[in-house]
Amino acid sequence: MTSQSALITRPEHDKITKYLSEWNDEIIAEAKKRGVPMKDLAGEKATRAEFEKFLNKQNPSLIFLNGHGDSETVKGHKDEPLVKCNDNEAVLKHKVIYALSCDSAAKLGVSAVEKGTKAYIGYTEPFSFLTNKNKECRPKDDELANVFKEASNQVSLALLRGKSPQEAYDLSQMKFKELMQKFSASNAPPDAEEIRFWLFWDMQAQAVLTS
Amino acid sequence: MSKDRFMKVYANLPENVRQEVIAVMKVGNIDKPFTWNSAYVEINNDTPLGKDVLKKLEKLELI
Amino acid sequence: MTEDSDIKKLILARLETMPEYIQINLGSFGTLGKEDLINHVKKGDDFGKKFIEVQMKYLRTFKQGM
Repeated sequence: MTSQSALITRPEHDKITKYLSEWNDEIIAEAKKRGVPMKDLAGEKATRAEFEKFLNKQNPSLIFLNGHGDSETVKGHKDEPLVKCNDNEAVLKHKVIYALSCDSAAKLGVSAVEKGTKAYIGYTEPFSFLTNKNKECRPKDDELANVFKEASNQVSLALLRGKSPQEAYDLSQMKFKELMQKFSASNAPPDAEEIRFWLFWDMQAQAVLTS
Repeated sequence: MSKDRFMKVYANLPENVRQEVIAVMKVGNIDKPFTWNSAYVEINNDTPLGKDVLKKLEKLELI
Repeated sequence: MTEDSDIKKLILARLETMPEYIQINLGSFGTLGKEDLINHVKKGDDFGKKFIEVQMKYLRTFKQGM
């Protein structure tokens, strides 16, 4: 029986994972605000052993996976595979997953849903985000990256607020479009064209797979 | 017909999007980039270059 | 001139307008700057082809309006 709780994995071993980890501070705060118990496997704790150990004991209904990946894998600390196609995706059974990771919706997500995952929201191509090379020591202040954080976090926030996976996906897609419109206006900054295109890249790569 | 289609697409474009490069045209012997805005100037004035831009945009399926 | 070379020229011209300070973070492809993208498009490798494909998809959305 699934409990109303969540698990988050957020390695922090390189620039990209540090940004994604920082993005999830907002998600953790939202979970706390809503009284949703959340296990945070951050940094060196984002290992397969810790991941599976928690899932064997606690059985959360929501899992937020962050990190590098490919079409068959979502990875954790130092790119150790956490969940891999035709290996251990059964650990995701009956749960709703949001994987902020490259490509994993292409095969892993499909296989997971076939094997009993309730829903898998992810990306069928590399997830992209922009950074300002002059601000990379302070991810929180990187306005370029924060645009992508806003669109991605919409999924996790919606799920924590009780929305269905389809609703969470729809809300995120709307947020992508809203941001593309915002950066199309006459007062858009000089980098607006690049922001628009890479938002479009992510929007068209985002997918929701349900059983 | 294609001028009409261009005008309709252009009218509907948000202001910042109009600054995006959408075609490369040979002018004299030089390849030059054209944005929605610079394309509009040529097309709206029915110049020979404007007609070439329209053909290019049709070929690229942008209008 | 073939359509493919027209498209490549267009995408390269679009990339020329990209600010130098922008980095694109793309998971397994790492962090790419303007010159990296230009090289991928010129080489026509897998990523270069994908980038061109999505650029054209993006440009064609304006036919229907945002």
